[in-house]
Amino acid sequence: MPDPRALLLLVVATPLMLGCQGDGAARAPAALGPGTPRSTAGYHTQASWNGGYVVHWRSAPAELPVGEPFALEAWVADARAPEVLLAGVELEVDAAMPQHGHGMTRRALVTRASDGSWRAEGLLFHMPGEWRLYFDVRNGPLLERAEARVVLD
Amino acid sequence: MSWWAAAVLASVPCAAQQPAGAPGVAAHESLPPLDARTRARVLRLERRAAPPADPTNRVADDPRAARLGQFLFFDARLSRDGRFSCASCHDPAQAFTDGRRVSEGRVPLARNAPTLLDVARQRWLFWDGRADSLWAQALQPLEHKDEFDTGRVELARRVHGERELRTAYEALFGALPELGDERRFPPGARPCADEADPRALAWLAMEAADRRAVERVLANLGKALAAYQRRLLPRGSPFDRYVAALREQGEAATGTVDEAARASAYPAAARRGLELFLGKADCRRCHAGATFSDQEFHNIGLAGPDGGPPRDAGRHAGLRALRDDPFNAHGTFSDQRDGARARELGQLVAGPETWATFRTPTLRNVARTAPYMHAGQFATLREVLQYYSTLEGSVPVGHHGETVLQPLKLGAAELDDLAAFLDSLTDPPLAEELLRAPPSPLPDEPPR
Repeated sequence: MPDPRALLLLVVATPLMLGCQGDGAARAPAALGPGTPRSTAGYHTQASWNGGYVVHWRSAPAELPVGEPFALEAWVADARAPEVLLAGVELEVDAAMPQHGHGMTRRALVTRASDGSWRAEGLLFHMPGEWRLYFDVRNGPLLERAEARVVLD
Repeated sequence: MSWWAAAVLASVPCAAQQPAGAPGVAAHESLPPLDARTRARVLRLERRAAPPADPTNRVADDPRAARLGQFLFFDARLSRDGRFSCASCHDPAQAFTDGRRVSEGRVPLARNAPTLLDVARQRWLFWDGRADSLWAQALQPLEHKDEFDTGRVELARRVHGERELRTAYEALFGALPELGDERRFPPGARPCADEADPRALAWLAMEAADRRAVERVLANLGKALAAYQRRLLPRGSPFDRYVAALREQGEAATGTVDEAARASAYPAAARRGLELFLGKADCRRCHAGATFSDQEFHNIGLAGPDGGPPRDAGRHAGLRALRDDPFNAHGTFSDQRDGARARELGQLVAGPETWATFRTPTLRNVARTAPYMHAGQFATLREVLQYYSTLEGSVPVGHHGETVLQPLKLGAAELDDLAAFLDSLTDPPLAEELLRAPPSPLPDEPPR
């Protein structure tokens, strides 16, 4: 039986546009780079709300802890080429417990690695329960959010 | 069968197996084993690992530093007029609290004295988290005008002027500066909030290098005090024994009776309270992990003194004080200025939601640490449980605040069970030698 702490329920985010509805410009990701396809093995994959991007992410440690800092590794791809790392965009990472009306008590430190992937450090889920991980992909003034639902027991 | 006949029949086998001196233990025979999910939750409350290291304090686990720190902890000569020692508010006989609603310094202080038991496991210190290490915490009462009220130069001079203290200090931290030179080190010199204060002027008139040398002595005294407090690690509560039995049993518990409870003589009421704690009452939401604290800050809706919104800013002010503290993990006197704790300082989120939030206290030994909450708002554990059950008298936390709390609506029997569970978190006393002043700040001579 799997450890309940490893229970990651990844919701395929309903592509609700919410406040961005009608802002079709957010569907124009940066131009594809010359990258070759990368393996997505071991990564969770999350489509952005507007469908322009996918974010591949994994945590370190793999089993997300309660009350201890952890890191995320992530890379962004154009939804039309989901296995090719997309350069030229920025990534921000945050998290919240919407059910309780609070976020994390700290901001993640997000840095870009030399291969164009991202590392977010210093995240901490201080409570068990349902968290939402937010990956904000920024391309100039345009921003799309991918959201992963994570349940920690 | 009449009700009394059923009761007699049910009680006979229990009574026969009840260990002497453990009233009510046999009642757990009627309790089934924990389900897998609850069992996993219980095991996460286990004290397994040693407390986290403190790399900002290189003597944190040095026994010589712990000895010096223990000596200082009980030494009222650290206070301006010899009235106070650390043990004044953190009395070993009262689980390292003072049993008061709020502590008594030179005037009544604003907050309740938290226990120091298991304090090495705390990520933040003070109710508002304005210190990020035990050693940085220890420094603040020393100079506070309502507490020890002893300036840092005077503290350093006292260590310098007493042979054993000086020997113990220098064995750990190297030679003290020439503190006997009153021209370079004016006895009353210290930073003050009022920069026109003569003591502050004297402090600012000192050479920068001399100020720095005194600050280093102050930081080192804090590091020794921390080394002692890191040893206040009780073990062996009834709950610990139950968890050990549960772990020993493995996942094979398939019977109809909680054998771990029986093997550890864990009271039935406590076992029921444990299930409430992890289930219906959902206390684990904030009281999580081996310390029974999420190590974070929450506003639980406690009213201010006038029954209105809370006036004590709590973490909101504590965050600023923490960042401004020259003795924080990133400061000059930290032994790991670029480590994870130092980086964390730049990541902490301050916003309107941090107003009136206070650190989640540990529940270990909570039955011995009344009164409760940051200002001692509740005299008894029963009052605390009643509050969470009804939230009567609470004030809205504001639209920026979290909404974790809902009235638990617990019945009297459930409150009793939760109280029994909390009582089962009481550890046996620490070793006697940790509870009193040692005869000397120097380590004992090895036996010949």
